[in-house]
Amino acid sequence: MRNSRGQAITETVIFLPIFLFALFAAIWGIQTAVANERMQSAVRYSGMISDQIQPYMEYSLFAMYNNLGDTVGVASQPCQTPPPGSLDNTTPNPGPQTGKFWTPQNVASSCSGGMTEITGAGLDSPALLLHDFSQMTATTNVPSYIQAALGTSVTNLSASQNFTSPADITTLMHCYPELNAAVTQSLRPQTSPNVTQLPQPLSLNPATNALLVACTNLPGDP
Amino acid sequence: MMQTQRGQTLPIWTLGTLSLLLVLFFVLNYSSIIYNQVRAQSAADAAAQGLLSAQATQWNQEVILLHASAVEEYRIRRLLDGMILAIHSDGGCTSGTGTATDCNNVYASLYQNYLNAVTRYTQDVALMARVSTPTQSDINAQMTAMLTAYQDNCGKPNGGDCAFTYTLVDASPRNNSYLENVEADSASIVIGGGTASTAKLDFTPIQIELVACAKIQPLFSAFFHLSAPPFLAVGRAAATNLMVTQEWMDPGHLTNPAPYGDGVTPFQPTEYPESPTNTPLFGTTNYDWYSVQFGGDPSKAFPHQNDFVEIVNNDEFSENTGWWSSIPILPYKGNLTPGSSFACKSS
Repeated sequence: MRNSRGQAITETVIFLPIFLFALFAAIWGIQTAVANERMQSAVRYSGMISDQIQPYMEYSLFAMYNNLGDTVGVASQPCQTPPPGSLDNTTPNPGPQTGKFWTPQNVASSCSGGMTEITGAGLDSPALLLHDFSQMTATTNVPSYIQAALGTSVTNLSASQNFTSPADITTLMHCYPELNAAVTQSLRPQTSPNVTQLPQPLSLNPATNALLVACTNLPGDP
Repeated sequence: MMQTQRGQTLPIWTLGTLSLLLVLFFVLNYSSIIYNQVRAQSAADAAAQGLLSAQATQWNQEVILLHASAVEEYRIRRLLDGMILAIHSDGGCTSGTGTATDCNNVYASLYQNYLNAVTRYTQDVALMARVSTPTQSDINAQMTAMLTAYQDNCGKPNGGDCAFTYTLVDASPRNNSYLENVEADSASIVIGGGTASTAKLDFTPIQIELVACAKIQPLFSAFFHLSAPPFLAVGRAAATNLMVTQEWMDPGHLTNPAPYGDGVTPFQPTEYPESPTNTPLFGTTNYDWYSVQFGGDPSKAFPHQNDFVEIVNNDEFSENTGWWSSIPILPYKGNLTPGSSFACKSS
Protein backbone atom coordinates (compact mmCIF):
# COMPACT_ATOMS: atom_id res chain seq x y z
CA MET A 1 0.00 0.00 0.00
CA ARG A 2 2.79 2.32 0.85
CA ASN A 3 4.28 1.69 -2.57
CA SER A 4 1.12 2.83 -4.32
CA ARG A 5 0.78 6.11 -2.49
CA GLY A 6 1.40 9.04 -4.81
CA GLN A 7 1.19 6.87 -7.88
CA ALA A 8 -1.75 8.78 -9.35
CA ILE A 9 -0.02 12.09 -8.86
CA THR A 10 3.05 10.83 -10.62
CA GLU A 11 1.03 9.61 -13.55
CA THR A 12 -0.87 12.87 -13.65
CA VAL A 13 2.34 14.88 -13.68
CA ILE A 14 3.57 12.81 -16.58
CA PHE A 15 0.38 12.82 -18.61
CA LEU A 16 -1.04 16.27 -17.91
CA PRO A 17 1.28 18.09 -20.33
CA ILE A 18 0.60 15.50 -23.02
CA PHE A 19 -3.11 15.72 -22.39
CA LEU A 20 -3.05 19.51 -22.45
CA PHE A 21 -1.03 19.45 -25.65
CA ALA A 22 -3.62 17.22 -27.28
CA LEU A 23 -6.47 19.31 -25.90
CA PHE A 24 -5.08 22.58 -27.15
CA ALA A 25 -4.12 21.05 -30.44
CA ALA A 26 -7.70 19.89 -30.89
CA ILE A 27 -8.99 23.33 -29.97
CA TRP A 28 -6.57 24.96 -32.40
CA GLY A 29 -7.46 22.45 -35.10
CA ILE A 30 -11.18 23.02 -34.75
CA GLN A 31 -10.80 26.79 -34.67
CA THR A 32 -8.50 26.83 -37.67
CA ALA A 33 -10.59 24.37 -39.63
CA VAL A 34 -13.76 26.38 -39.17
CA ALA A 35 -12.01 29.62 -40.10
CA ASN A 36 -10.48 27.97 -43.15
CA GLU A 37 -13.78 26.67 -44.42
CA ARG A 38 -15.54 29.98 -43.79
CA MET A 39 -12.86 31.87 -45.70
CA GLN A 40 -13.28 29.57 -48.66
CA SER A 41 -17.03 30.21 -48.51
CA ALA A 42 -16.42 33.95 -48.32
CA VAL A 43 -14.29 33.80 -51.45
CA ARG A 44 -16.94 31.74 -53.18
CA TYR A 45 -19.60 34.29 -52.18
CA SER A 46 -17.46 37.05 -53.65
CA GLY A 47 -17.03 35.30 -56.97
CA MET A 48 -20.60 34.22 -57.40
CA ILE A 49 -22.12 37.54 -56.39
CA SER A 50 -19.72 39.60 -58.50
CA ASP A 51 -21.08 38.12 -61.69
CA GLN A 52 -23.91 40.39 -62.86
CA ILE A 53 -23.58 42.45 -59.71
CA GLN A 54 -25.29 45.40 -61.46
CA PRO A 55 -26.97 43.79 -64.46
CA TYR A 56 -28.31 46.93 -66.11
CA MET A 57 -24.95 48.66 -65.75
CA GLU A 58 -23.31 45.69 -67.45
CA TYR A 59 -25.81 44.49 -70.02
CA SER A 60 -28.09 47.16 -71.45
CA LEU A 61 -28.59 49.71 -74.18
CA PHE A 62 -27.76 52.26 -71.49
CA ALA A 63 -24.31 50.71 -71.12
CA MET A 64 -23.88 50.62 -74.88
CA TYR A 65 -24.86 54.27 -75.43
CA ASN A 66 -22.48 55.35 -72.69
CA ASN A 67 -19.57 53.55 -74.28
CA LEU A 68 -19.72 54.90 -77.81
CA GLY A 69 -16.40 55.93 -79.32
CA ASP A 70 -13.58 56.38 -76.85
CA THR A 71 -15.89 57.28 -74.00
CA VAL A 72 -16.05 54.94 -71.05
CA GLY A 73 -19.17 56.42 -69.51
CA VAL A 74 -20.18 53.23 -67.74
CA ALA A 75 -17.20 51.20 -66.66
CA SER A 76 -17.16 47.50 -65.89
CA GLN A 77 -18.59 47.04 -62.44
CA PRO A 78 -16.24 46.44 -59.51
CA CYS A 79 -16.24 43.02 -57.92
CA GLN A 80 -17.59 42.24 -54.48
CA THR A 81 -14.83 41.84 -51.91
CA PRO A 82 -15.05 38.61 -49.91
CA PRO A 83 -17.08 39.79 -46.92
CA PRO A 84 -15.37 39.46 -43.52
CA GLY A 85 -18.90 39.12 -42.18
CA SER A 86 -18.89 35.57 -43.51
CA LEU A 87 -16.50 34.73 -40.71
CA ASP A 88 -18.70 35.92 -37.86
CA ASN A 89 -22.22 35.69 -39.25
CA THR A 90 -22.72 39.40 -39.78
CA THR A 91 -23.53 41.28 -42.97
CA PRO A 92 -24.06 40.10 -45.68
CA ASN A 93 -24.91 36.72 -44.20
CA PRO A 94 -26.33 37.51 -40.77
CA GLY A 95 -27.07 34.59 -38.53
CA PRO A 96 -26.70 33.52 -34.93
CA GLN A 97 -23.94 35.54 -33.36
CA THR A 98 -20.58 33.85 -33.63
CA GLY A 99 -18.45 33.56 -30.53
CA LYS A 100 -15.13 35.33 -30.60
CA PHE A 101 -13.36 32.01 -30.45
CA TRP A 102 -14.45 31.16 -33.99
CA THR A 103 -13.39 34.45 -35.51
CA PRO A 104 -9.84 34.63 -36.86
CA GLN A 105 -7.67 37.70 -36.51
CA ASN A 106 -6.06 40.05 -39.03
CA VAL A 107 -8.72 39.42 -41.63
CA ALA A 108 -7.92 41.01 -44.98
CA SER A 109 -9.87 40.52 -48.16
CA SER A 110 -9.68 41.89 -51.64
CA CYS A 111 -10.80 41.33 -55.15
CA SER A 112 -9.45 42.62 -58.39
CA GLY A 113 -10.66 42.07 -61.86
CA GLY A 114 -11.36 43.34 -65.29
CA MET A 115 -11.24 41.93 -68.75
CA THR A 116 -8.96 39.15 -69.78
CA GLU A 117 -8.33 37.18 -72.95
CA ILE A 118 -7.94 33.51 -73.66
CA THR A 119 -5.94 32.58 -76.71
CA GLY A 120 -4.79 29.23 -77.94
CA ALA A 121 -5.10 26.49 -80.50
CA GLY A 122 -8.61 26.20 -81.87
CA LEU A 123 -9.46 29.82 -81.24
CA ASP A 124 -9.39 31.99 -84.35
CA SER A 125 -9.52 35.10 -82.18
CA PRO A 126 -9.01 35.77 -78.49
CA ALA A 127 -11.98 34.95 -76.30
CA LEU A 128 -12.86 37.85 -74.02
CA LEU A 129 -13.86 37.28 -70.43
CA LEU A 130 -14.35 39.21 -67.25
CA HIS A 131 -12.39 37.85 -64.34
CA ASP A 132 -12.50 38.46 -60.63
CA PHE A 133 -9.66 37.28 -58.44
CA SER A 134 -11.02 37.12 -54.91
CA GLN A 135 -8.88 36.36 -51.93
CA MET A 136 -8.95 36.47 -48.17
CA THR A 137 -6.23 36.07 -45.57
CA ALA A 138 -6.41 35.80 -41.80
CA THR A 139 -4.60 34.34 -38.83
CA THR A 140 -5.54 32.25 -35.86
CA ASN A 141 -3.57 32.30 -32.64
CA VAL A 142 -1.72 29.14 -31.75
CA PRO A 143 -2.27 28.20 -28.11
CA SER A 144 0.93 28.67 -26.16
CA TYR A 145 1.09 24.99 -25.21
CA ILE A 146 1.61 23.95 -28.82
CA GLN A 147 3.55 26.93 -30.13
CA ALA A 148 6.81 25.11 -29.63
CA ALA A 149 5.54 22.09 -31.53
CA LEU A 150 4.24 24.14 -34.48
CA GLY A 151 7.09 26.60 -34.31
CA THR A 152 4.85 29.61 -34.64
CA SER A 153 2.48 31.71 -32.59
CA VAL A 154 -0.01 32.31 -35.40
CA THR A 155 -1.47 30.23 -38.20
CA ASN A 156 -1.68 31.97 -41.54
CA LEU A 157 -4.81 31.12 -43.46
CA SER A 158 -5.65 32.04 -47.03
CA ALA A 159 -8.25 31.29 -49.64
CA SER A 160 -8.45 32.54 -53.20
CA GLN A 161 -10.11 31.79 -56.50
CA ASN A 162 -10.21 33.32 -59.95
CA PHE A 163 -13.76 33.62 -61.24
CA THR A 164 -14.64 34.23 -64.87
CA SER A 165 -17.80 35.27 -66.66
CA PRO A 166 -18.85 36.55 -70.10
CA ALA A 167 -17.64 39.99 -71.11
CA ASP A 168 -19.99 42.88 -70.42
CA ILE A 169 -21.10 45.49 -72.94
CA THR A 170 -18.40 47.94 -71.85
CA THR A 171 -15.75 45.37 -72.68
CA LEU A 172 -17.32 44.49 -76.01
CA MET A 173 -17.51 48.14 -77.02
CA HIS A 174 -13.89 48.84 -76.17
CA CYS A 175 -12.29 45.60 -77.29
CA TYR A 176 -13.84 45.24 -80.75
CA PRO A 177 -12.83 48.43 -82.59
CA GLU A 178 -14.71 47.50 -85.77
CA LEU A 179 -17.89 47.01 -83.77
CA ASN A 180 -17.42 50.23 -81.85
CA ALA A 181 -16.72 52.28 -84.98
CA ALA A 182 -19.73 50.95 -86.87
CA VAL A 183 -22.14 51.34 -83.99
CA THR A 184 -20.87 54.77 -83.00
CA GLN A 185 -21.29 56.03 -86.54
CA SER A 186 -24.80 54.62 -86.80
CA LEU A 187 -25.95 56.11 -83.51
CA ARG A 188 -24.01 59.35 -83.86
CA PRO A 189 -24.17 59.86 -87.65
CA GLN A 190 -22.47 63.23 -87.47
CA THR A 191 -19.25 61.35 -86.75
CA SER A 192 -19.31 59.47 -90.05
CA PRO A 193 -17.68 60.83 -93.20
CA ASN A 194 -19.58 61.88 -96.29
CA VAL A 195 -19.56 59.36 -99.10
CA THR A 196 -20.15 60.06 -102.77
CA GLN A 197 -21.93 56.93 -103.89
CA LEU A 198 -23.96 54.07 -102.60
CA PRO A 199 -22.02 51.00 -101.51
CA GLN A 200 -21.90 47.87 -103.59
CA PRO A 201 -24.27 45.08 -102.58
CA LEU A 202 -22.78 42.72 -100.07
CA SER A 203 -21.17 39.56 -101.31
CA LEU A 204 -23.17 36.38 -100.99
CA ASN A 205 -20.09 34.89 -99.43
CA PRO A 206 -19.05 37.48 -96.88
CA ALA A 207 -15.75 37.39 -95.09
CA THR A 208 -15.95 34.93 -92.25
CA ASN A 209 -13.03 36.24 -90.27
CA ALA A 210 -13.70 36.99 -86.64
CA LEU A 211 -13.75 40.55 -85.42
CA LEU A 212 -10.43 42.12 -84.57
CA VAL A 213 -9.72 42.26 -80.84
CA ALA A 214 -7.83 45.29 -79.54
CA CYS A 215 -8.82 46.66 -76.16
CA THR A 216 -8.42 50.32 -75.36
CA ASN A 217 -9.43 52.52 -72.47
CA LEU A 218 -10.07 49.58 -70.18
CA PRO A 219 -8.44 48.72 -66.87
CA GLY A 220 -6.89 45.28 -66.85
CA ASP A 221 -5.82 45.29 -70.51
CA PRO A 222 -3.59 42.25 -70.87
CA MET B 1 -6.39 -5.17 -3.48
CA MET B 2 -4.31 -2.05 -3.18
CA GLN B 3 -1.77 -3.62 -5.48
CA THR B 4 -4.33 -3.65 -8.30
CA GLN B 5 -5.07 0.04 -7.86
CA ARG B 6 -1.53 0.99 -8.71
CA GLY B 7 -1.41 2.86 -12.03
CA GLN B 8 -5.17 3.10 -12.21
CA THR B 9 -5.05 6.61 -13.73
CA LEU B 10 -2.69 5.54 -16.45
CA PRO B 11 -5.32 4.04 -18.78
CA ILE B 12 -7.61 6.99 -18.19
CA TRP B 13 -4.96 9.48 -19.14
CA THR B 14 -3.88 7.37 -22.08
CA LEU B 15 -7.39 6.92 -23.40
CA GLY B 16 -8.22 10.57 -22.85
CA THR B 17 -5.14 11.76 -24.66
CA LEU B 18 -5.59 9.32 -27.50
CA SER B 19 -9.22 10.38 -27.85
CA LEU B 20 -8.19 13.98 -28.17
CA LEU B 21 -5.54 13.17 -30.73
CA LEU B 22 -8.11 11.11 -32.60
CA VAL B 23 -10.47 14.07 -32.59
CA LEU B 24 -7.65 16.22 -33.94
CA PHE B 25 -6.93 13.63 -36.64
CA PHE B 26 -10.53 13.61 -37.78
CA VAL B 27 -11.07 17.35 -37.47
CA LEU B 28 -8.07 18.31 -39.54
CA ASN B 29 -8.76 15.73 -42.21
CA TYR B 30 -12.44 16.57 -42.32
CA SER B 31 -11.70 20.28 -42.56
CA SER B 32 -9.34 19.57 -45.42
CA ILE B 33 -12.12 17.73 -47.24
CA ILE B 34 -14.60 20.55 -46.73
CA TYR B 35 -12.06 23.21 -47.68
CA ASN B 36 -11.06 21.46 -50.89
CA GLN B 37 -14.62 20.56 -51.75
CA VAL B 38 -15.75 24.18 -51.55
CA ARG B 39 -12.68 25.18 -53.53
CA ALA B 40 -13.43 22.57 -56.20
CA GLN B 41 -17.02 23.75 -56.49
CA SER B 42 -15.91 27.38 -56.86
CA ALA B 43 -13.34 26.38 -59.47
CA ALA B 44 -15.95 24.49 -61.47
CA ASP B 45 -18.52 27.29 -61.26
CA ALA B 46 -15.95 29.90 -62.28
CA ALA B 47 -14.91 27.93 -65.34
CA ALA B 48 -18.43 26.99 -66.42
CA GLN B 49 -19.70 30.54 -66.44
CA GLY B 50 -16.63 31.81 -68.23
CA LEU B 51 -16.74 29.22 -70.99
CA LEU B 52 -20.22 30.25 -72.03
CA SER B 53 -18.84 33.63 -73.00
CA ALA B 54 -18.21 32.10 -76.42
CA GLN B 55 -21.93 32.17 -77.14
CA ALA B 56 -22.92 35.13 -74.92
CA THR B 57 -20.38 37.39 -76.59
CA GLN B 58 -21.53 36.40 -80.07
CA TRP B 59 -25.16 37.07 -79.22
CA ASN B 60 -24.48 40.37 -77.45
CA GLN B 61 -22.50 41.54 -80.46
CA GLU B 62 -25.50 40.64 -82.60
CA VAL B 63 -27.84 42.60 -80.30
CA ILE B 64 -25.56 45.63 -80.51
CA LEU B 65 -25.45 45.44 -84.31
CA LEU B 66 -29.19 44.81 -84.54
CA HIS B 67 -29.81 47.99 -82.60
CA ALA B 68 -27.43 50.01 -84.77
CA SER B 69 -28.88 48.66 -88.00
CA ALA B 70 -32.48 49.17 -86.77
CA VAL B 71 -31.68 52.83 -86.06
CA GLU B 72 -30.23 53.13 -89.55
CA GLU B 73 -33.29 51.49 -91.13
CA TYR B 74 -35.57 53.91 -89.32
CA ARG B 75 -33.35 56.80 -90.37
CA ILE B 76 -33.24 55.69 -94.00
CA ARG B 77 -37.01 55.42 -94.10
CA ARG B 78 -37.37 58.95 -92.76
CA LEU B 79 -34.77 60.25 -95.19
CA LEU B 80 -36.61 58.72 -98.14
CA ASP B 81 -39.85 60.30 -96.92
CA GLY B 82 -38.13 63.67 -96.68
CA MET B 83 -36.57 63.33 -100.12
CA ILE B 84 -39.94 62.56 -101.70
CA LEU B 85 -41.41 65.63 -99.99
CA ALA B 86 -38.55 67.82 -101.21
CA ILE B 87 -38.92 66.52 -104.77
CA HIS B 88 -42.55 67.61 -104.66
CA SER B 89 -41.67 70.94 -103.04
CA ASP B 90 -43.65 69.85 -100.06
CA GLY B 91 -43.05 69.67 -96.35
CA GLY B 92 -42.06 73.31 -95.88
CA CYS B 93 -39.17 73.85 -98.28
CA THR B 94 -39.32 76.74 -100.73
CA SER B 95 -38.77 76.66 -104.47
CA GLY B 96 -36.42 78.85 -106.43
CA THR B 97 -35.12 80.91 -103.53
CA GLY B 98 -31.58 79.57 -103.53
CA THR B 99 -31.49 79.74 -99.75
CA ALA B 100 -30.80 76.96 -97.32
CA THR B 101 -34.52 76.15 -97.22
CA ASP B 102 -34.70 75.91 -100.99
CA CYS B 103 -36.10 72.50 -101.92
CA ASN B 104 -33.07 71.76 -104.11
CA ASN B 105 -30.70 72.41 -101.23
CA VAL B 106 -32.85 70.49 -98.78
CA TYR B 107 -32.97 67.57 -101.20
CA ALA B 108 -29.19 67.67 -101.70
CA SER B 109 -28.58 67.53 -97.97
CA LEU B 110 -31.10 64.77 -97.48
CA TYR B 111 -29.56 62.79 -100.32
CA GLN B 112 -26.07 63.13 -98.87
CA ASN B 113 -27.35 61.89 -95.54
CA TYR B 114 -29.10 59.06 -97.34
CA LEU B 115 -25.85 57.96 -99.01
CA ASN B 116 -24.08 58.09 -95.67
CA ALA B 117 -26.84 56.18 -93.89
CA VAL B 118 -26.97 53.39 -96.48
CA THR B 119 -23.18 53.08 -96.33
CA ARG B 120 -23.24 52.79 -92.54
CA TYR B 121 -26.12 50.35 -92.69
CA THR B 122 -24.14 48.21 -95.12
CA GLN B 123 -21.21 48.21 -92.71
CA ASP B 124 -23.48 47.13 -89.89
CA VAL B 125 -24.92 44.29 -91.93
CA ALA B 126 -21.50 43.17 -93.11
CA LEU B 127 -20.30 43.03 -89.52
CA MET B 128 -23.42 41.14 -88.54
CA ALA B 129 -22.63 38.56 -91.20
CA ARG B 130 -19.16 38.08 -89.76
CA VAL B 131 -20.31 37.94 -86.15
CA SER B 132 -23.08 35.45 -86.82
CA THR B 133 -21.01 33.13 -88.99
CA PRO B 134 -19.95 30.68 -86.23
CA THR B 135 -22.52 27.93 -85.79
CA GLN B 136 -23.35 26.29 -82.50
CA SER B 137 -21.00 23.50 -83.45
CA ASP B 138 -18.24 26.11 -83.90
CA ILE B 139 -19.10 27.62 -80.52
CA ASN B 140 -18.84 24.20 -78.86
CA ALA B 141 -15.42 23.72 -80.43
CA GLN B 142 -14.38 27.16 -79.17
CA MET B 143 -15.42 26.26 -75.64
CA THR B 144 -13.35 23.08 -75.74
CA ALA B 145 -10.34 25.07 -76.95
CA MET B 146 -10.96 27.71 -74.29
CA LEU B 147 -11.00 25.11 -71.54
CA THR B 148 -7.68 23.69 -72.69
CA ALA B 149 -6.12 27.15 -72.62
CA TYR B 150 -7.86 27.94 -69.34
CA GLN B 151 -6.23 24.88 -67.81
CA ASP B 152 -2.84 25.78 -69.25
CA ASN B 153 -3.13 29.35 -67.96
CA CYS B 154 -3.90 28.23 -64.41
CA GLY B 155 -2.90 30.71 -61.76
CA LYS B 156 -3.24 33.64 -64.17
CA PRO B 157 -6.17 36.02 -64.69
CA ASN B 158 -7.22 34.03 -67.75
CA GLY B 159 -6.79 30.64 -66.14
CA GLY B 160 -8.29 28.33 -63.59
CA ASP B 161 -7.21 26.82 -60.31
CA CYS B 162 -3.96 24.91 -60.72
CA ALA B 163 -5.04 22.39 -58.12
CA PHE B 164 -7.68 20.85 -60.38
CA THR B 165 -8.16 19.16 -63.69
CA TYR B 166 -11.15 20.45 -65.63
CA THR B 167 -13.35 18.27 -67.81
CA LEU B 168 -16.14 19.54 -70.02
CA VAL B 169 -18.67 16.78 -69.51
CA ASP B 170 -21.38 18.14 -71.76
CA ALA B 171 -22.24 21.03 -74.04
CA SER B 172 -25.67 20.85 -75.57
CA PRO B 173 -28.57 23.05 -76.61
CA ARG B 174 -30.99 23.87 -73.83
CA ASN B 175 -34.34 22.76 -75.14
CA ASN B 176 -36.99 23.75 -72.66
CA SER B 177 -40.24 21.95 -73.34
CA TYR B 178 -42.27 24.89 -72.11
CA LEU B 179 -41.01 27.20 -74.86
CA GLU B 180 -43.38 28.01 -77.67
CA ASN B 181 -42.96 29.76 -80.96
CA VAL B 182 -43.51 33.50 -81.06
CA GLU B 183 -45.48 35.00 -83.88
CA ALA B 184 -45.74 38.72 -84.38
CA ASP B 185 -47.55 41.08 -86.66
CA SER B 186 -47.84 44.84 -86.63
CA ALA B 187 -50.50 44.86 -83.96
CA SER B 188 -49.60 42.17 -81.52
CA ILE B 189 -47.28 39.47 -80.43
CA VAL B 190 -48.72 36.02 -80.05
CA ILE B 191 -46.84 33.44 -78.07
CA GLY B 192 -47.38 29.84 -78.80
CA GLY B 193 -50.89 28.68 -78.96
CA GLY B 194 -49.54 25.27 -78.17
CA THR B 195 -46.87 25.16 -80.83
CA ALA B 196 -43.65 23.59 -79.65
CA SER B 197 -40.57 25.72 -80.06
CA THR B 198 -38.67 25.15 -83.28
CA ALA B 199 -35.81 27.57 -82.76
CA LYS B 200 -32.86 27.21 -85.06
CA LEU B 201 -30.00 25.46 -83.33
CA ASP B 202 -27.72 28.49 -83.69
CA PHE B 203 -30.26 30.53 -81.74
CA THR B 204 -30.72 27.99 -78.96
CA PRO B 205 -28.91 28.73 -75.68
CA ILE B 206 -26.18 26.29 -74.75
CA GLN B 207 -26.00 24.52 -71.41
CA ILE B 208 -22.80 22.98 -70.20
CA GLU B 209 -21.70 20.78 -67.36
CA LEU B 210 -18.15 20.80 -66.16
CA VAL B 211 -16.15 19.03 -63.48
CA ALA B 212 -13.12 20.25 -61.56
CA CYS B 213 -11.46 17.39 -59.75
CA ALA B 214 -8.32 16.62 -57.81
CA LYS B 215 -7.11 13.72 -55.73
CA ILE B 216 -6.16 15.28 -52.41
CA GLN B 217 -3.88 13.71 -49.85
CA PRO B 218 -5.25 13.95 -46.31
CA LEU B 219 -3.42 16.20 -43.92
CA PHE B 220 -2.69 13.18 -41.71
CA SER B 221 -2.74 9.92 -43.53
CA ALA B 222 -2.48 7.59 -40.55
CA PHE B 223 -3.12 7.50 -36.83
CA PHE B 224 -1.95 4.26 -35.27
CA HIS B 225 -3.94 1.64 -37.11
CA LEU B 226 -6.35 4.16 -38.64
CA SER B 227 -5.53 5.35 -42.13
CA ALA B 228 -7.09 8.10 -44.18
CA PRO B 229 -6.89 7.44 -47.91
CA PRO B 230 -6.64 10.20 -50.50
CA PHE B 231 -10.00 11.65 -51.39
CA LEU B 232 -11.43 13.20 -54.52
CA ALA B 233 -12.42 16.83 -54.33
CA VAL B 234 -15.04 17.07 -57.04
CA GLY B 235 -16.77 20.23 -58.12
CA ARG B 236 -19.64 19.78 -60.54
CA ALA B 237 -21.01 22.89 -62.14
CA ALA B 238 -23.56 23.47 -64.82
CA ALA B 239 -24.37 26.77 -66.42
CA THR B 240 -26.42 28.13 -69.25
CA ASN B 241 -26.84 31.32 -71.19
CA LEU B 242 -29.98 33.31 -70.81
CA MET B 243 -31.17 36.88 -71.09
CA VAL B 244 -29.96 38.34 -67.80
CA THR B 245 -31.52 41.67 -68.65
CA GLN B 246 -34.47 42.55 -70.82
CA GLU B 247 -35.53 46.02 -71.75
CA TRP B 248 -37.96 48.06 -73.73
CA MET B 249 -36.46 51.37 -74.68
CA ASP B 250 -37.56 54.49 -76.52
CA PRO B 251 -34.12 55.97 -77.20
CA GLY B 252 -35.64 59.07 -78.76
CA HIS B 253 -37.72 59.72 -75.67
CA LEU B 254 -35.64 58.54 -72.74
CA THR B 255 -32.86 60.83 -71.61
CA ASN B 256 -29.43 59.75 -70.52
CA PRO B 257 -29.42 60.55 -66.80
CA ALA B 258 -26.72 62.52 -65.02
CA PRO B 259 -23.89 61.97 -64.40
CA TYR B 260 -23.71 59.81 -67.54
CA GLY B 261 -25.52 62.34 -69.68
CA ASP B 262 -26.96 65.79 -69.14
CA GLY B 263 -30.34 64.42 -68.11
CA VAL B 264 -31.97 66.34 -70.95
CA THR B 265 -30.67 64.95 -74.22
CA PRO B 266 -32.27 61.69 -75.31
CA PHE B 267 -30.11 58.71 -76.09
CA GLN B 268 -31.05 59.12 -79.75
CA PRO B 269 -31.70 62.82 -80.30
CA THR B 270 -33.64 64.29 -83.18
CA GLU B 271 -31.59 64.80 -86.35
CA TYR B 272 -32.01 67.51 -88.96
CA PRO B 273 -30.64 66.04 -92.17
CA GLU B 274 -32.18 68.84 -94.23
CA SER B 275 -29.19 70.86 -93.08
CA PRO B 276 -25.55 69.90 -93.76
CA THR B 277 -24.78 71.08 -90.23
CA ASN B 278 -27.60 69.14 -88.56
CA THR B 279 -29.44 72.24 -87.44
CA PRO B 280 -33.20 72.76 -87.72
CA LEU B 281 -33.97 75.00 -90.72
CA PHE B 282 -37.68 75.21 -90.10
CA GLY B 283 -37.76 75.98 -86.41
CA THR B 284 -38.69 73.57 -83.67
CA THR B 285 -42.20 74.82 -82.93
CA ASN B 286 -44.03 73.03 -85.69
CA TYR B 287 -43.53 69.51 -86.94
CA ASP B 288 -40.41 69.24 -89.05
CA TRP B 289 -41.25 66.92 -91.92
CA TYR B 290 -37.60 66.42 -92.88
CA SER B 291 -36.23 65.62 -89.47
CA VAL B 292 -35.47 62.18 -88.15
CA GLN B 293 -37.38 62.04 -84.90
CA PHE B 294 -37.07 58.82 -82.99
CA GLY B 295 -39.91 60.05 -80.86
CA GLY B 296 -41.60 57.89 -78.31
CA ASP B 297 -44.86 57.84 -76.44
CA PRO B 298 -45.29 58.04 -72.69
CA SER B 299 -46.57 54.80 -71.22
CA LYS B 300 -48.15 54.00 -67.91
CA ALA B 301 -47.30 50.69 -66.36
CA PHE B 302 -49.61 48.61 -64.21
CA PRO B 303 -47.14 46.18 -62.73
CA HIS B 304 -49.68 44.34 -60.62
CA GLN B 305 -51.67 43.49 -63.71
CA ASN B 306 -48.52 42.86 -65.76
CA ASP B 307 -49.86 45.39 -68.22
CA PHE B 308 -49.29 48.86 -69.55
CA VAL B 309 -51.18 51.52 -71.48
CA GLU B 310 -49.64 53.60 -74.21
CA ILE B 311 -51.44 56.10 -76.38
CA VAL B 312 -49.59 56.51 -79.64
CA ASN B 313 -49.43 60.18 -80.55
CA ASN B 314 -45.90 60.50 -81.88
CA ASP B 315 -43.38 58.85 -84.11
CA GLU B 316 -41.79 56.07 -82.20
CA PHE B 317 -38.69 54.01 -82.55
CA SER B 318 -38.80 51.59 -79.65
CA GLU B 319 -36.97 48.43 -79.02
CA ASN B 320 -37.58 45.25 -77.11
CA THR B 321 -34.33 43.50 -76.52
CA GLY B 322 -32.30 41.53 -74.04
CA TRP B 323 -28.72 40.78 -73.23
CA TRP B 324 -27.05 37.47 -72.69
CA SER B 325 -24.83 36.12 -69.98
CA SER B 326 -24.36 32.89 -68.10
CA ILE B 327 -25.89 31.74 -64.84
CA PRO B 328 -25.30 28.60 -62.79
CA ILE B 329 -27.90 25.86 -63.02
CA LEU B 330 -28.32 22.48 -61.37
CA PRO B 331 -25.98 19.83 -62.79
CA TYR B 332 -28.09 17.72 -65.12
CA LYS B 333 -25.91 14.85 -66.31
CA GLY B 334 -26.81 12.39 -63.60
CA ASN B 335 -24.23 10.01 -62.21
CA LEU B 336 -20.67 10.61 -63.31
CA THR B 337 -17.77 8.29 -62.73
CA PRO B 338 -14.25 9.48 -61.94
CA GLY B 339 -11.84 8.27 -64.52
CA SER B 340 -14.36 7.60 -67.25
CA SER B 341 -16.64 10.64 -67.05
CA PHE B 342 -14.01 13.08 -65.88
CA ALA B 343 -10.34 13.26 -65.01
CA CYS B 344 -8.81 14.16 -61.67
CA LYS B 345 -5.52 15.79 -60.93
CA SER B 346 -3.20 13.75 -58.75
CA SER B 347 -1.62 15.67 -55.94
